[in-house]
Amino acid sequence: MQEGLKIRNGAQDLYGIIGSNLHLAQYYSKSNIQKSNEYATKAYEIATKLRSIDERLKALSFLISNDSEAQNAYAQKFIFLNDSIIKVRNNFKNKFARIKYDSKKEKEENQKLRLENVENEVALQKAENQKILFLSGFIILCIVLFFVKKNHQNKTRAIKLKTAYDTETRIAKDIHDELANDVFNTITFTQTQPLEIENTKETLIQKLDHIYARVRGISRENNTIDTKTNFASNLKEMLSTYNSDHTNVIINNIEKVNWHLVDEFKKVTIHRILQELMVNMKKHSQASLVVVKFESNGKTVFIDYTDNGKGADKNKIIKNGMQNMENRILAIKGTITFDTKPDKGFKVKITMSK
Amino acid sequence: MFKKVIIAEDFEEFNLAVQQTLNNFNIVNFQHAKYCDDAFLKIRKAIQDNEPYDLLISDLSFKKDHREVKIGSGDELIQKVRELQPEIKIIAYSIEDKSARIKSLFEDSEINAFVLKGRNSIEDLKKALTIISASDQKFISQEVASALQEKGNYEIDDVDIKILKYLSDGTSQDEIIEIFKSSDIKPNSKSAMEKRLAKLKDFFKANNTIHLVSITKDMGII
Repeated sequence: MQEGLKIRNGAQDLYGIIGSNLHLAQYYSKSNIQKSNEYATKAYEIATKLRSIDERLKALSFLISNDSEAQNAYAQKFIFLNDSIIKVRNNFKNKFARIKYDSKKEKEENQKLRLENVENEVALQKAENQKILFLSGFIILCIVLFFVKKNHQNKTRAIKLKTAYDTETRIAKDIHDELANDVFNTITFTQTQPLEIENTKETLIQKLDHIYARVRGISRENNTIDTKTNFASNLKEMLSTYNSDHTNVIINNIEKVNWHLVDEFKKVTIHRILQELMVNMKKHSQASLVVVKFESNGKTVFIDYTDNGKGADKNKIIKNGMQNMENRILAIKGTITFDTKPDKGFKVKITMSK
Repeated sequence: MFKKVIIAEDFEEFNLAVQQTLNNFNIVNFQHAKYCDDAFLKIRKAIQDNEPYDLLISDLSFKKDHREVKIGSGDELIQKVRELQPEIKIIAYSIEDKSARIKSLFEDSEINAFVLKGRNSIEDLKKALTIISASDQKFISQEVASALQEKGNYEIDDVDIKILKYLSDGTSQDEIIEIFKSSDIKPNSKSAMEKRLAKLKDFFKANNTIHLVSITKDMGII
């Protein structure tokens, strides 16, 4: 042990020196109190220098248990040191405990936050899913709508084309029935009759004039229609041309309809349908009275046609001229209903949105 | 009679009726334009040369062909010529028989005559030339004369329908007048009421008021 102390002294290992001194103090405390005290005091001094409290306390405890004279002073020093060190250590402990507690709390909070985070994420995910669902639903809806519309457009176009085709064939038929025959007869007439005679010439002129009137009639029936400001007055005029010694065409409230709000194509359709009704009336009905009544509210136009002519068998008539009118009105998404019986006049109701 | 005439017409063969008529009147100085634009230019040039035309005879519809034109219809040409040379006499010569268009020509462009192409067009042209060269009177072919008159339309309004409804309910004429007066519907005088009833009977070819109500009921008016 003495050797160890010597080596440590040589190496200036202060903690080692304290340790050796303390060991020596312990060793001599049973045999030589004097020596034990010496070593203990030495350890105490070095420990004080190094401010190593545990070692000081250990040294003091040896001094207390060994010495009888200075015991009190050593004991007081010991208690003082011990108290202060315990206080300091307790303080540390408290601090440490608080740090521990704080960190625990933080951990809990973190946990909580993480949980919340996860919940949020789940909610977000849900929202995202909903968004995707909604979006895809919307897209599907759009696609469906697109196809429905396209289908509808195709249908409408088909109806329009059909109407146009029917009109063409009708004009062709008109020309054939009304003109070709007349022209042929007139040709035959000029080939066979002596034209030098004034009467024959007059007959020829009459025939030609008749053809001319027919041509003008066909042209008028298929002429362009003014859909601008003069629409109502032109329509009125067209209806009024069917006034004759035999027939009165009575018109009601034609100007009360806000025609400038009505789509151009619809105006054309109305004009044509009414014209066709009038042509049919003139050709077949022998009516003495015709009433064309107009009515309109914010969105819809109603047109009532009534005549007191000889009417017709409804089943027969639908097959003929009425189909074209129906197609025309279908093309503008309106409705048309025919009501007729033999000898009971002819009634037509037309409705269409503006 | 006219000394210098311009004719706007797109017929390939020069219109015989016009030619013959002008010859009848010994008018030899006449030009022909196939396009409205050409006619307008000629009229303007004549004014510049101090030898203006004193009569324009114009068709109303011109065929569209490869040539792009500024003035596409006779109506426009007439309107422009009237603005350019207010004192020139104008005859519209067409197969057009729509009242509105004819009326507008007389009222807006102040044409002097409207001659319908048809059986009587040569006669009508002669009459028109005679009348408008000698005076400011207007001429219109007989077949379309109704265009300038306010007749021909049989129109009924809401007041007519109200009267018919009251009559069908058994209300007397005098009572209807009273109702109209108290609800401020005009006209509500006795004479106006009688006029309206006479008009309605005429329109619906009714012999008397009872007949009128019965007919209008059948026709779905009330």
